[in-house]
Amino acid sequence: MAIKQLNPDGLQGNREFIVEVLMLSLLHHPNLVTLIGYCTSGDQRLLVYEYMPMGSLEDHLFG
Amino acid sequence: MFSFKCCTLLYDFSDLESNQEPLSWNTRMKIAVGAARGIEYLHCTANPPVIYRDLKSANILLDKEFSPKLSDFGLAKLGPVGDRTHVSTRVMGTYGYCAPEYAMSGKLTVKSDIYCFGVVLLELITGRKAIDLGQKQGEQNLVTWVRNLLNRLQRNT
Repeated sequence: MAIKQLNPDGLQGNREFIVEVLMLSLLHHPNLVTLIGYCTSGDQRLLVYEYMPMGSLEDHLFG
Repeated sequence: MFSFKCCTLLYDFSDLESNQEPLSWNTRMKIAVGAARGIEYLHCTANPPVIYRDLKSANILLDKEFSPKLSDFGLAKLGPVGDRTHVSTRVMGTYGYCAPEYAMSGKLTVKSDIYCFGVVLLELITGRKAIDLGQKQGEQNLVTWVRNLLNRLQRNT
């Protein structure tokens, strides 16, 4: 699993969190990352994804 | 651009970064095709269509077989329905990947994602970043650099 933590000070943070959860709950395809779950508590926002062991394309091209 | 602070992973990539081999051409093409299939699903299968708005190499994650998966849907937007060709929106995305007509007009279409895909394709082919401030003047923007190279080639043929 990979866990992403939302920055509580982010201007667009909450909106982007909701869009991310909504989109990934409705969309399913082998070439889209799978959202396993999310959690909110106070101003904390966490997203839990499947773990992608090879990192990002950016890491490989420019890492 | 992103409000998400960090991506905490259960493993780190430090070994991978120091020992990694350059991606083979086959792997690069596999990544391009997989990313294109993800975008095709968003544009052609999802109903209403979804415009991803932030296709870039940092958002393409790789599984252990180097199959790509698109991540980070925080900027995604539902696309136009019916006879409409675009949705009007505040311009969001990442410098160097953003389609110029969208950046100028705020009119977002599924084609805005295709422009980003083209930039990723150039990154895969050239190994250069969309914006690379380490390059000399005139070569820092990948699209501009490639366009100049192609123009020069055409003049010489």
